Amino acid sequence: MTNHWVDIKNADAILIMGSNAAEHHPISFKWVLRAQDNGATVIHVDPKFSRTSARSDFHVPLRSGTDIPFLGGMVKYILDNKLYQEDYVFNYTNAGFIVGEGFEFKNGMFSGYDPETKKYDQKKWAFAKDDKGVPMRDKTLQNPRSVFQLMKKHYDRYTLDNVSKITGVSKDDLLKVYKAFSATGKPDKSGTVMYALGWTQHTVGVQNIRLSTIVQLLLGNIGVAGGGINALRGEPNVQGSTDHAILWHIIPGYNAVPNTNWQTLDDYMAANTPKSNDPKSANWWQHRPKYVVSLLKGWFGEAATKDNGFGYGWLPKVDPGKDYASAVLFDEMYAGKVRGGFVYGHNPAQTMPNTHKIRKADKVTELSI
Amino acid sequence: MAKAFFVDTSRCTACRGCQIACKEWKGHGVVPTKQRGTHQNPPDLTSTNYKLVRFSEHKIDGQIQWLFFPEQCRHCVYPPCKMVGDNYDDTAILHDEVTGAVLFTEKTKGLPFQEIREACPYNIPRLDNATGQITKCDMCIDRVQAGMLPACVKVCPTGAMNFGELEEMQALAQQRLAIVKQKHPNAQLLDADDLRVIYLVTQDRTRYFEFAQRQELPSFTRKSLLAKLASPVQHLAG
Repeated sequence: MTNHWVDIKNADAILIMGSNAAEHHPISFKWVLRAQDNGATVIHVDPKFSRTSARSDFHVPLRSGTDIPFLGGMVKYILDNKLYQEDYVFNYTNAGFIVGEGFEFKNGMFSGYDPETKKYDQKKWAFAKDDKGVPMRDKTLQNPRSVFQLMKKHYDRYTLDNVSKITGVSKDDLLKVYKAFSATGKPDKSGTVMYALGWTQHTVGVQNIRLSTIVQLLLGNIGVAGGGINALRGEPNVQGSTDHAILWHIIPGYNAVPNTNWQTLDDYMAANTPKSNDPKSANWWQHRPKYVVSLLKGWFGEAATKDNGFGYGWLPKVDPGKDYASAVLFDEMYAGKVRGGFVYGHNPAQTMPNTHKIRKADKVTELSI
Repeated sequence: MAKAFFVDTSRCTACRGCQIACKEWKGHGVVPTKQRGTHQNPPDLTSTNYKLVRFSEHKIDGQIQWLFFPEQCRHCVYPPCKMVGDNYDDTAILHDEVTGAVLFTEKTKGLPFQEIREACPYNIPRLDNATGQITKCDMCIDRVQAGMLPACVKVCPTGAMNFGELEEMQALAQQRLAIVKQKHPNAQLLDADDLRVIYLVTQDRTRYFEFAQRQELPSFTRKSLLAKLASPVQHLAG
């Protein structure tokens, strides 16, 4: 969540999409209803009419999995009707940045695609930089190579007709949602997006959420009370996966897990502390060393000293380039390479994909607790 | 001193937390439930389900309306169940003077169940076949006497369930009615003057379920009740 639960009450519009909040995150509705008391419009966009819909100002059903065209249409609506907050968009987003010549979008494909590896070379999409390595910007947002203009071009295809055809939502209903939510694109208004597994569990889960980010940034709804993009989470292993670093690739504080290429604290810091020549860049992660040392001191107390790298050497280190995600882990169990483990707060035999394989994998191990 | 509930169905998300909290506080066991195409489970109040969230679906003016009604004993100001019970044993059903709670004691074993049930304008009393007692919501009298909220109110996340002094709840009900009416012109309070459980509904009450309406029985008019309850002996029984 970018904002906290209580803050939902400050919203002027609430878009609930990919979530059945009233049923699955009942406490969230305490705050949704408070916002509604203060005049907020509560919108539920979801294929199914649920108890969330029953308490929303309106429910708009859409064809399952068509969230991207639905939101894409909203981006176009905001751009066409100039409902974005121009100051916010220029100052706090990369809309004014100039995109390098390598970027191109043609026939539904971006430049840099390698059909053999089925991967994009994202370096081709880099910003154009000046001689100091600082991204070039256009204050007027008019430069055809600015992020803003490229975005405008990109979303040109998301016409009401197209979006309506794909999503199965009538044009009237599309406009109803777009109008109600983009009314928050004003400095004194804010709107929040509440989503859950209805977005994340699609193959395009990340894209769903990134697109909502674009909507929220255009409307100036990030970093304000009653705004944000709020992933509704309840179970400890969902919120905890990031906050408490339960996922394998990070240690607490969103810091990368140490690997064997980074033997010393200095190696670790050099690889994970970004540098910027842009005097205006906040470049917040330049402070990473402070966070990491603080964490190490928290763990090792007085034993963490400058001379011993604050105990960094004592941390276990993973093999670089190797994936330790749970799906891969069970693959390895299945192959007999992982021989035991502790499972807690989780029932993999029920919640992981391909449960038959998971159960077999579990049997292969010698120790499973 | 007299207490009351205010149930604002316009805020109910039918999470059924109240239903569960009631069961937990009372230590009531499970009852078999069945998928009948609705979340309303069990289908009706039972001798160990004093609270039940009722669901009903309607299409009104082209819009789907899903109505929720957390049902329970209304703790009548003049309880007809007590009046009937008193004809047999005036210590079986008590009317607590302090809170206004209508309480079914274990002596309800000796009362004719059908008569008591039929006396209730809202069809609340249920017979516990195992003990022979007649049961229903007791306003969590044990909790209330200890200064706590009834379990169903304590657990409600949205403010649908409220509890407090009668005047306070009546004022809250009026205040909410005025607000809710702006969106739902048919909103109304149900029999607010006669009950200690004031319901605010957004649609015509007939849309909720049969006993959202008051079943007015000719022999239990308010007037006759008043006459009965005026007797000091019976009043002391509470």
